[in-house]
Amino acid sequence: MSAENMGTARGSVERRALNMIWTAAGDYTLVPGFVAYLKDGSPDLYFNTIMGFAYGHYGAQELDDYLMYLGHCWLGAVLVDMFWLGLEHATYQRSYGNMLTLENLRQAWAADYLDDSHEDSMQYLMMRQELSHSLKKARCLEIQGKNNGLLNPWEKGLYKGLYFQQEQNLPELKENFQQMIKKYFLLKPQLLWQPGHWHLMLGAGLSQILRRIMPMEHQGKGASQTQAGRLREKSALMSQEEERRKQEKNWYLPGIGSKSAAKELAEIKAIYPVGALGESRRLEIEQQVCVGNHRYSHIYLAGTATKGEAYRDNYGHFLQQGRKYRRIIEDLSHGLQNSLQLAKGSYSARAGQGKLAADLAWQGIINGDERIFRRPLPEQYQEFSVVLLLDGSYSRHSQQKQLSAQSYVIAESMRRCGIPTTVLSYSTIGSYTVLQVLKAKEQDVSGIWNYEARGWNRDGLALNILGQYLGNDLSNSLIFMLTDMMPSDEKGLPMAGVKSLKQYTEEAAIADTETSLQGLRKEGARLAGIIQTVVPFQPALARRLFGHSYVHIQSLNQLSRAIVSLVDGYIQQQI
Amino acid sequence: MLTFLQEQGIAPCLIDSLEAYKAAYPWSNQDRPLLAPGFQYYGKEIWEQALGALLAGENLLLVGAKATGKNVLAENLAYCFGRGDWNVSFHVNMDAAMMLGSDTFRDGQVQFRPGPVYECASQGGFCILDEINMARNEALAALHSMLDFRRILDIPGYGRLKMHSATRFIATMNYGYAGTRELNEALASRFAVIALPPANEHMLANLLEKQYGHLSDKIRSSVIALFMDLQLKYQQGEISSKSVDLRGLLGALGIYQQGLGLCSALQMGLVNKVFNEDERQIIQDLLDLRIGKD
Repeated sequence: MSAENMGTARGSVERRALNMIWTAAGDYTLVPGFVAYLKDGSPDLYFNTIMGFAYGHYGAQELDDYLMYLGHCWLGAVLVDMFWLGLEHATYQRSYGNMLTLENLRQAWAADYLDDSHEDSMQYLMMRQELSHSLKKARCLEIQGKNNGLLNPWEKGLYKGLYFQQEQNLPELKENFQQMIKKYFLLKPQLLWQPGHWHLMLGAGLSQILRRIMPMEHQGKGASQTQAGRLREKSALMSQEEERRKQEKNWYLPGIGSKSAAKELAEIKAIYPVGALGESRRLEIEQQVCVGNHRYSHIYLAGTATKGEAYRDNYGHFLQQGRKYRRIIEDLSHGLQNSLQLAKGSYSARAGQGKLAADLAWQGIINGDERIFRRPLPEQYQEFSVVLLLDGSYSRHSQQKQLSAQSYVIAESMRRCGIPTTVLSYSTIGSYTVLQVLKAKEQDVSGIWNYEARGWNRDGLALNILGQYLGNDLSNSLIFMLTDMMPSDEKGLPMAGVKSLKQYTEEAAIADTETSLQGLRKEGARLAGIIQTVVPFQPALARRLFGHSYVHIQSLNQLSRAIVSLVDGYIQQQI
Repeated sequence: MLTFLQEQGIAPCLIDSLEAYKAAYPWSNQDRPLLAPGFQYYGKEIWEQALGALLAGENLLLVGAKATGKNVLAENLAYCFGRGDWNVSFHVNMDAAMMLGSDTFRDGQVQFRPGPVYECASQGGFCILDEINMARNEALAALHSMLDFRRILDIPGYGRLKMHSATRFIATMNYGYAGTRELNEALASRFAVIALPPANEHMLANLLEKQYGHLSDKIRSSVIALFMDLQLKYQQGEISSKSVDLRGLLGALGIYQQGLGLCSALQMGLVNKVFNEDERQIIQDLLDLRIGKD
């Protein structure tokens, strides 16, 4: 099974388990510290429901905090198991009257645990904590109306303490449990806590059916996930850029205080070992586009190399958030199919030939009108392809994983609807602006995971390179530019004289970008902006660059509807 | 119906105006008798909005997800206003002729064969334009003159129809499903729009008590809890909308009434509507939790 399939399979089982907990807790923002599985690896409906009720009643954070505290000790796994067993009793007592099926589910749970017909693996038996197993078995026997089978007085006494009372609140339960630990384990509770002895006990008695999950990514937002955090990051990046500018001379004549173009090219090739074009074609394009504002610039077209660190990071992020992204793929595919279906339609017109229209036949006889047939009208829009152009500059570094996932979502949705898609990213390193082909039209979508944010972004030049790369395909391309509308490059704009005075940033860079966009439109391309920015969004700037064809994405939930509206708008313009 | 409205707590002034409307426009078409709707719509606020708009002479656009009761409400409104209803289901191939009418040849002459919208407009009925946003804008443009202050319809070659004063249009609209599109602004501005909320516990309880009074309290509350759970899971993005199907739920209860086990019936009505295996398992887990096996 491939890594992706394994991730998906495990993901779907875990998703079921989480849904069981969420249903009972009534809270879908809950990030439980524990989920329960049966011996066969399937999620345990009864115990996850009990957990959900417990989380909902006692407070998820408080409960998990205490369980994590218990877990940090030599007997951590056993104590956690015991506490859950106690909670099971109280929660069942409290809930069974409200739920038709809880009693039957409990019976089935007990029967499953006691079922000797399962051949427990050696691994399971080795890892099973005998104390946990004895206590659990006792509970299951009692559920079946039998004697709990405990003979050891110590175990009997311990087990009695696991009849948690439904009226007790969590602090009371904790207090009682602490006293029980002290009594039966002859240890001060605080001595049990040993930092650094966190361990996972998979498959140890109850632990085989309790498995900690990794914290969800959205649990506890890091600084980079809040707007304030992103703004701080952006400021820090800008400061770094300014520092670099101060350190480097901003001479724009090559060869004076800067590396030779050949040396730079060698460095670019070291970063992007796979080229997308032969050298002669590269030079040809360079001569076409490195003029005017970019006359001292160079270009490079790269393909994608083997899977590096960026690939692993980006793809790992997608797998972790797979549920969310798959939902968006489904929504977006659905929406695109709508748009295409409606645009194609089977609108027909009366004609002298075609399919005979019985309701019009009389007109032929009475009126002598020969148009008694219906002919489907030709498709009203031309087939088109989509190009995703990603800003690959360092300012996008903190969102690299999300942007690659979004691009994947869009490309995969387009693929499902039969819309050919090309995905490229651009960045500027030194005097080279690199356009990297992450996914050519005929390639599969996996190359998108190679997206890596580095360098500057000389947007105007990148767009010009794109125009040359697409060539004749430009006129039937819908180009989505994923951008923050902040073009900038350490190499400024060449002016008259030796020393460049104008930075490639802000108005100068925007004007240059605007010119390039207009140039592409003149060649027949349709352009749309998908704008995500950490600084306040400027609608006027968006309109200036993209007209009415832009969307400002503030959350992932907006993505599918935004893309569909852009595609719809494009199709409507063609009809 | 009057008793039902009073039980719902509808404002007396609206009920009085409704009675006045019915007195002013008695229904006389024997070929189209008024039929009591199969289901009643529960929701005081929605009722009052709808009644107020129609009494004011406005047309209504009911927007909501599937099985939120759009057609039920439309039929209820037609019935309580005492008018016959004409139901026009829109689709992508709809054109003006299908709605308004077309030429035909009868008795040796070319004659106009009126469509449902024409008939309704001439007789003062309630025209239910179902899934109005499935049709193309070119087809819908034919309705503009009837939906605004003009209330007329010009048929080329056949003159002008002045709409009956009692005529009302009630359009329904899903949003975001396969084949649906945005309603163009010109058309949307001709309607008073009501967004129907998704089903809530109270509404479901009323509905089930009325339609399936034989259900025990425990089963009724379990079924309601199941549906509310499905709705919440859909809102949270855990499942698609396929199984959040009130029609399916009611159908399942009808099957249960015939003697099939409740779990099996609900599998047919809800679970099996989902073809994605992961999603189906989540819904089955919910069914196992709320209803249990047969």
